[in-house]
Amino acid sequence: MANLACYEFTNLPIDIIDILENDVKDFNDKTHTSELMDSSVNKDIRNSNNAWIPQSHWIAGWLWYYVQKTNNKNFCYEITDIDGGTLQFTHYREGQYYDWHQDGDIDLLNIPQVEVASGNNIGQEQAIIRGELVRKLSFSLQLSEPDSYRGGELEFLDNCGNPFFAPKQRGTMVVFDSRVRHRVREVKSGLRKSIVGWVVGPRWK
Amino acid sequence: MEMTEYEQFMNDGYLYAPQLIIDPSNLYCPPPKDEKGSLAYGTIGYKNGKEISVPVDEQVPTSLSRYSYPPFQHVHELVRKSLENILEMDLFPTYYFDRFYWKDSVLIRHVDRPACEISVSIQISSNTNPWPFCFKKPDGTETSVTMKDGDGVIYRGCDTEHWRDKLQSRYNKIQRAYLKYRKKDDDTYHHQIFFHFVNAQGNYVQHAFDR
Repeated sequence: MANLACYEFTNLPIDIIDILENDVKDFNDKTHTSELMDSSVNKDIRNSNNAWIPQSHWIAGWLWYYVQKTNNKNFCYEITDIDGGTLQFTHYREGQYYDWHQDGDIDLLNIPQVEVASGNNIGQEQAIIRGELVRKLSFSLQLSEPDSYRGGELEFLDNCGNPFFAPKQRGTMVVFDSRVRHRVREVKSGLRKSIVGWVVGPRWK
Repeated sequence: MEMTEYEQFMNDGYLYAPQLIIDPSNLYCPPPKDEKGSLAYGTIGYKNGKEISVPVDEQVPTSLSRYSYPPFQHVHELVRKSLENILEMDLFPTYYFDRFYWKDSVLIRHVDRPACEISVSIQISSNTNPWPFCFKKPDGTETSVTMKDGDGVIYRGCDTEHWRDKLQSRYNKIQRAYLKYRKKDDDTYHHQIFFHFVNAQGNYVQHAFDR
């Protein structure tokens, strides 16, 4: 049976994570209030800060390796790319959180656009369904040491409504089905840093 | 300067917590018997209102263990709060079980799985002499704790090797021979509850709720 969420304990050397953190410090200065999926800001639902990291950054390739590895062994979804070509470098400070939500589901999809293309011959009209890319997987790379902040757990609900947490170990890559309900619990003290992203693929068939 | 309880816990790998349960008689359970009236053995698991039984407890064959025994569920939460105060750390519950050790029970030297990162063992009742709970400290020295009803010992289950030597009968040789002749059980027992937790700021939070 496949898992809703998978963890890769990357054992990435701390030095490398430090380099990464230094690298994204540029983005640190550009953090702004996080928006919801519809680009609105609602601090009752999401209260955090983030900056965008372009897909051209080396970390994206590194993360993509783990996404593919996890997808191959657990999800086996048809995936193509990182959503929007960007990653989110996210900060949760004391009092900040992201309430229960899903990153992708049927109600977040647009109705397929059907176009009718005329063929050369009368009666050979062809229906073309304009496919769209849908979010299938979400991922989160834990950047902070677990003892450097209180609270801030990445929490999921399984299909029976039972909660479970993602590991906090620094360097852990968490990959999960975007339809799984999850939240980031309120940070009680300290700073929780992570890089999150979403993976898209052709519409579910 | 005197060490805090947390420092002592981290330094020794365990911490004796006297009277962790103020009135252990509230948790008292008579030693369970089987349908023939003999001492009950094995493992019973309680989940979603159902009982699943296994005839032999794998870890201690001369015992009866009960996982998630419903009357102790609320105690898990109370003990969590106590431990958070003592250790000054946030904890998530993982699982709990209680065990009736009968005569000749031995708990072999072992360390536990990650869901037992922070564990506490509390004595509920016993009808025999104090039974030492042994630990190997991080510096390699071996030590033991004896408890009274309601006392607990908090230990780092994944790191601190722990064990118990054989539980001796409370009867002398002649009394044991008489019990044998009358085909009666030696009713020596020791009842202990184990509550397990993970550090909310540690590397094992994914084992919270025993996932």
